[in-house]
Amino acid sequence: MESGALLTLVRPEEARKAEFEEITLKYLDSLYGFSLVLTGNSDDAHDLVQDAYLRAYRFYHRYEQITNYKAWLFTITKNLFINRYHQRAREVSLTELEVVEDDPYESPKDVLVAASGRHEKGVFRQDFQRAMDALPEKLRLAVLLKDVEGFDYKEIAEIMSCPLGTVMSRLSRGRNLLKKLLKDYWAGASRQTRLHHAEHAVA
Amino acid sequence: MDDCSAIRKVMHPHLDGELDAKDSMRTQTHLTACPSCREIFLAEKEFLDLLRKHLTPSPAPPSVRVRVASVRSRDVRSDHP
Repeated sequence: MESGALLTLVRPEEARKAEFEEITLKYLDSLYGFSLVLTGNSDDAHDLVQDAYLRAYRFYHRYEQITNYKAWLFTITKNLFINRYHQRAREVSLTELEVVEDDPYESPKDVLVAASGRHEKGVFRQDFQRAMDALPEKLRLAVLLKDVEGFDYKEIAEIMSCPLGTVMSRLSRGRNLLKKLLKDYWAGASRQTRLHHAEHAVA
Repeated sequence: MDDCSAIRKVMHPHLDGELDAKDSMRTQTHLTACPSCREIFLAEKEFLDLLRKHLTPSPAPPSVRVRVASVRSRDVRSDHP
């Protein structure tokens, strides 16, 4: 332990920078996606990611005991957002979304049936992204942190500073709403295809 | 046996590997015995697999990488928060 501390003291600055980059830069895409959801626009997301890396670099110099770098970076980003951006721009939308509605349960079977006719490459990804963008912000964050970023419930609760039950409820509602949106997109698309075929048949 | 509505509420935590051993076993036992819950469970699993396959992080714009690269050129220790 003592020799480790000594090594830290004598380690050259350049090596520390390279080590920081190697550990943290692989999460850049994820952090930008997270920042984009938090801020709602590309300019603020750029600022937020840059500030988060600056802060992470400062703390990285002071501590060696970080065990989960990805969760650590997400937490720094979210705390910075709350401190600097939240009060400025997003107060209304963040509070109004606390209203919990009793959404009707969407059967996964219906959405899978609707999906079966939509196998074009690339279209699927666009549809999922469009549905994600349509989710209320807190539900979108829960789905992003779980299904895109792979955090567990406890990590999500820590990143978002909310109880575990809230994570579960937001995730469940978010996924349920995604099913509904996707089912509507895909059902609409197959209706249009059928109409198109019918028009051609008549012509 | 647990009732179906209780099991359906824990399907996502079960799929996410978030139930403790006891609850996980109870859920599994119910799913083995109840064809209608099992059918919904498998469809939920298929939907989540589809979701995770198609929702991946988009690459950050190159301008973000440039901004982050500027972090390392600063003397952060003299830069007070």
